[in-house]
Amino acid sequence: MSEPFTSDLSASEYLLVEDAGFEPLGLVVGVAVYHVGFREQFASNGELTVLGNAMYKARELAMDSLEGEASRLRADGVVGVRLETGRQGWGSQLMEFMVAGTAVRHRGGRKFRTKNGRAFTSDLSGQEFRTLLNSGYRPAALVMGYCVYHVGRRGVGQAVKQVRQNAEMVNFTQAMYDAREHAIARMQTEAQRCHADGVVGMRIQENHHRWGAHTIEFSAIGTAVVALPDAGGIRPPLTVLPLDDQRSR
Amino acid sequence: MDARFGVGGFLLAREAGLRQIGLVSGVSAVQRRYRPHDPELFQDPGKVWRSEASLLDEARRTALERLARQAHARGASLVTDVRISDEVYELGEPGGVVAQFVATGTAVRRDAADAGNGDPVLTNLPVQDYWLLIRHGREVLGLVGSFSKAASGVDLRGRVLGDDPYKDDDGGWEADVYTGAVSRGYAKARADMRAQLTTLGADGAVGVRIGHVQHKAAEGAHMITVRAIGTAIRRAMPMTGGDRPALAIMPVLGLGRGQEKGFGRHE
Repeated sequence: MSEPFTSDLSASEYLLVEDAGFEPLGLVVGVAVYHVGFREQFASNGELTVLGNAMYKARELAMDSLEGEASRLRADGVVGVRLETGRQGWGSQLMEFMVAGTAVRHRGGRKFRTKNGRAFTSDLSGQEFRTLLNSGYRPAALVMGYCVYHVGRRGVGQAVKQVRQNAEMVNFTQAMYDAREHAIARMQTEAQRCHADGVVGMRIQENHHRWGAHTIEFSAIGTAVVALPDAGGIRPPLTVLPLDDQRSR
Repeated sequence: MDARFGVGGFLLAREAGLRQIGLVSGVSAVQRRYRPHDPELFQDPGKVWRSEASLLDEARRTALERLARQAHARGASLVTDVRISDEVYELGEPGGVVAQFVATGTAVRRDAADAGNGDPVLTNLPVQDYWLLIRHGREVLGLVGSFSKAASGVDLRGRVLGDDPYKDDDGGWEADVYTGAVSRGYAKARADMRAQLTTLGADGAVGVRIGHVQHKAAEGAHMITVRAIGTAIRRAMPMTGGDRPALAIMPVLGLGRGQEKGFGRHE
């Protein structure tokens, strides 16, 4: 008798994943606690590469750990991956990075692993995963892009000129454009690296001042998808009104 | 009648022959003796602090038992939406720390025939999910979970064990003792659940909520508390007297994963 599985999928997600021909194997978790190095300080707008690199490195360590657990379970992929970053008040240089999801394997032995033999990862819900498969696509990898950006300070002359004025903070506006574009471009690069047709379920998050004043952080996260070779085309959508109580969750 | 079913849950319960009885709760507060410096804390980060964990786990179980007893007394055969919150605080008097657990849920009666028979089945799933599982031929066996405390390898000054003060700080580095401690906490939580599932003869657990918090302990170190809760299920014959409901894959009201669940501070 096989070992019982654990899964963070909801009841309907679990049933849909099973209905799609996958069996849940277990909850897989990856953790990395990272000590962030010395931060550069700029007078003008500029990217804080040490912070960005730390985010990438911590993510990579956590994802490696999650994928390692999935491989040990001989999984084809991990669905419903959730990602959390946190910092402790007492250790401002320490950053916690945690990912968790449900490892799954196709019952029919169909190949769903990526080209390099790794389990696919996806942050899509069970409903979205099932819909994607029904429509002739499969997830390839969870792709991310980060950018931590320092917003330069206004010059004294400009600050004096804007006293008691409603005025655009051009330095902030430009910094947000730059940081956002960097984050999205990096996510797209990751998607291209896994030969994806596109990225779905993309979320852009912005954190202000997490790293102190005049620092903004953008992250872009989504699931890179590739077309299935024997795809039969997209089926007509079925409109369903669920009886879920959102307030009770 | 008081319950936290929304309109959807209320209508579904009516349709499925589930009668909501009302909110039920169970509370347990324990005091533990103050220990000035427990050597166990720093020797092996990630190792479960047994004396503390067993006391708290016992309190957690007591809260759940009291909830089940209250539900049973009110004629329930099922308690859905079970949530457990915990809080640890120091007494205003010397020598004591109190840990308090509160378990709440919605008591439900399946039908007149089984009302009041045996212990009610507890689940952290909403009533809709319970109904969906039953209609799709799964038996809901009860709650599984874990609550453990371990040293994180961080002292009260925020110094990480193994931290070399002369380390090159330019590029950043992984706090591997701390990482290992958190990873071991998660591994233990999942192992605890698997052991409980095996005892219940379950196929697995769904709706698992797992998460950790890091907090200061009075004993000279930071602690990690890892909490996990889920619902044990097993394949059974599909329930008769109703069609298998369609699985909603493209809901009109889309629930993103962020809204559906998360690593909360409460189970």
